Amino acid sequence: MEKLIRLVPWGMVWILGLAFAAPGFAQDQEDQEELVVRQQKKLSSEFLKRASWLVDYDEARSRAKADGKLVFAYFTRSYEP
Amino acid sequence: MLFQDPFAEFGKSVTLYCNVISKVKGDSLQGMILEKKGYSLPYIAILDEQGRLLAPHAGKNSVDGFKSTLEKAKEVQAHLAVLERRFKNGDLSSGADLLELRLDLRHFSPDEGRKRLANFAGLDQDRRALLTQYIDRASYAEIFGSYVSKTLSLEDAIARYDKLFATGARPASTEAGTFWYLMAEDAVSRKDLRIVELAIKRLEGLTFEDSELANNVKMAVQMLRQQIASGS
Repeated sequence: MEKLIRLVPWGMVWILGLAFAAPGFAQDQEDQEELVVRQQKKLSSEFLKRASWLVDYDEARSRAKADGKLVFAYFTRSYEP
Repeated sequence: MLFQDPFAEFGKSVTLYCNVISKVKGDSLQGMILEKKGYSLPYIAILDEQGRLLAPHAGKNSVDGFKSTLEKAKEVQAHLAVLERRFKNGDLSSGADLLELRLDLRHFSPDEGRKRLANFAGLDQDRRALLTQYIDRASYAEIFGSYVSKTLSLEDAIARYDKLFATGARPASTEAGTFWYLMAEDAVSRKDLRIVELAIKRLEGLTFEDSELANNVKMAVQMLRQQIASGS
């Protein structure tokens, strides 16, 4: 699939993006442990350390309320390089 | 962009929240992107302190682009507050505008949206139809979200989609395209040819005003057919 997304024009990404997120995608072959490893790897990404990112939704909302700020929500996937 | 120092500086003006869609079982927030009107990844949106959508980011992924979306979100938030105040003071026109904006931003579940629309008297037929369309699209998003969050199986998601479609509710072509591509891909991985063929048929039945999107879907269908032919 990574090969597939490189083959398609940028405009295709909208339709492929969530397909990559699909829970059933190769799920039978993929080990949940491996997915947890990938998730943890994503959560330890360098960009998350360079600013005060929160990954807990409730905490983000509480912090926004306490600080009088809006939430900048960034949605990504764990199995992308 | 998110790695750069200017972004870290911008980040101090907001609360930064990262939602990682992981396919890990038990991750209940995987479908949240769809509640916030996101249909592609990565996706960025500005939310209020309750997590309600104010503005999807549609511009450049740059600090200037993010600042622009943040400003738009603040304007929307201020506009919502004005409409709310006027409505509380008896201005029904503001109440209608408020309902429309909040339905468009998916501040309510589809069920709650339907109740609010049913209880709001005085809307003309065209506006009621538009607001119904917003709710219908939120209903489709709810199905997609439940599927991505794994609270619906592939078969149940399709059954719910078809049941909703039978009521006359229609998704936007882009949303329908995402849904059926998602179904097809998962069916390919399960080697369920019946569902792959169904999804391809549905994809082929979609029409797009944007010729590039139409071409993209055509290519997606071709790739799916190649996957079937190769037995992958």
